[in-house]
Amino acid sequence: MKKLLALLFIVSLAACSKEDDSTPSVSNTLSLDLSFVSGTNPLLFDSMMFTNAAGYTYSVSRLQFYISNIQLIKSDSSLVNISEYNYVDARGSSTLRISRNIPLTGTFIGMKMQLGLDSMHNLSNFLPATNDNINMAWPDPMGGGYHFLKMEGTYMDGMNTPGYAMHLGRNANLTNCIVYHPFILSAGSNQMDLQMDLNEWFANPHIYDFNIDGNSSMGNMAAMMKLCQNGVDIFTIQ
Amino acid sequence: MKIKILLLFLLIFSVFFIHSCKKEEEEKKNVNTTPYSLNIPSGFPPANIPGSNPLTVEGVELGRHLFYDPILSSNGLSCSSCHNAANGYSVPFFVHPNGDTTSVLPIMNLAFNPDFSWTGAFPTTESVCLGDFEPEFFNTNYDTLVARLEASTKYKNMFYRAFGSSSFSGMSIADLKLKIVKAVGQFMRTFVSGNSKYDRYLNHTENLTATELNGLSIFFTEQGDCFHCHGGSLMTSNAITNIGLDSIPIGQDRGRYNFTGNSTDDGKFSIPSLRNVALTAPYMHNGRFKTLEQVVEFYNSGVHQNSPNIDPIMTKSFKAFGLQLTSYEKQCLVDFLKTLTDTSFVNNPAYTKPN
Repeated sequence: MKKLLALLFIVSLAACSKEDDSTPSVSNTLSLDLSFVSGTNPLLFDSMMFTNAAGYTYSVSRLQFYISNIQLIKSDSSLVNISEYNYVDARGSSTLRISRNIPLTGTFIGMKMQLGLDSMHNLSNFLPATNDNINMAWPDPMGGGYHFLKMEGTYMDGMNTPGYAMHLGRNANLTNCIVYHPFILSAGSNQMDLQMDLNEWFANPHIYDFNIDGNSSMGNMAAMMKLCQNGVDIFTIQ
Repeated sequence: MKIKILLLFLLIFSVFFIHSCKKEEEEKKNVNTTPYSLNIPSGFPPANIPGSNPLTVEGVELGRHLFYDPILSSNGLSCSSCHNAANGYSVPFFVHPNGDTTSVLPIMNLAFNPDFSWTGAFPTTESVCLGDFEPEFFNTNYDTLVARLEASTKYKNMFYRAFGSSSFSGMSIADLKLKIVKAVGQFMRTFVSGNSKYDRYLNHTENLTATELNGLSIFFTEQGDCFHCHGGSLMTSNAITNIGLDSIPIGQDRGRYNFTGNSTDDGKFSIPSLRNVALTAPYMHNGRFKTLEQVVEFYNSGVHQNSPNIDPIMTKSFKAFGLQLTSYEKQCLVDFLKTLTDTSFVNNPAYTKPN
């Protein structure tokens, strides 16, 4: 019996090893370079120069988020997973490139990704205790897990410039983003630009008005839901 | 002017550092040090130890002796003069020659900081320590320092064990200063605080009282909204921000602006950890608040929402008239803040004056 178990163990290891052998060649990679605009203007932090659909001129002082479960869409609509989760700080150049091995090459019609963390990862203290992850924590008394998004800045409101804090979190507000844009991935290194349009957080399908919907969203499920639904088309492939 | 002095200071530090590296390589051949294992509490981020100054048992021990020894100064001061255990390894005030007062930041969990000082002007603990030789602090006389060290068998042995060199008179001033700040920097990085009543509550080994729990709830919800800047295991986000202390910051109240010269940094200061906060009064960069109750009242009703570059977290619309906490809620918040005191940290014999 013991010999049989030992044999099964060895066969299992061999099977695992066979599976490993079939993993993609490490030489095929895709680098996604993240960039940020507000409409047609490139993001310039701390500059009161952007205008959203509700008509507010606004600035951005912080932009941090998780982008996860990036999937390539094949022409038959099947999906290819390439990335689990990534923390991005728009001020930090080291987080603006997501490089992954790709399991296959060919023609694709687009990309899917989630802005935030799925329920498997959105658990308090689940992610490694890096300063970035620690600072994205969503407190347990407010539901636990992590901030999916922190977008902060100020906006013009008459003669005043109050702040805004668009924070997203909670599983219900995981934002499913889709980009339809054909591209070809070939053997070797591939590079693509993934651009976030900040104005899209405030429009399509809902006009988000700081003074009506709230200049902070964290404790406001209705406000977060609007942002979540607006966020479906925040990304484009350049 | 302050900006130029700081930049010059950092430049000099860099030159010292580069110059010393080559010599250090030669000295390292003489030394056989033992790596120092830092005890990092659960939930803390990885320690940020510079590769140029790894923790060693010998370096930490030398740093501990130097930290408590006025041998470095011409005025009787030592590092411990401004960092004592009773105040959570801070002291209430340091008074500058121009009359400005600074609330001294505690030595605690420095191994996890990305930058140092109230304005985040220093990239390492070593660069902070280097400034302590200046007339404003130790007013070090190098001839005297070298003579004192040469006369000390203890320090000759300890420097040799830590750095492989023991001839102080043959050492340049730059080399000597760098070795001293490296040793003291190593010692200060061993100051780790992560065993407060609140930590034990998180670990399910101790309960909080009803008022402390109520304070925790205020702290970690938008009712108090403390957590955005003071959450996480370090009880600080380590960000540099303006919380609205002044409508128009002037002088040292301009904070990071005095370092960078950027108008977008006006009024911004590094967010301190709240660990051991009950021991580190007074509060804010200039110690303007004497008690935790005064601090809570500032956040409750005293924030200057028109302050330049004020953090957006401070101007959420529901805060337009302050947090509107009741007296009871404010007391609960203070009670919770007191659970962040780590008595095992301030009583840790490894941080005390050596025999």
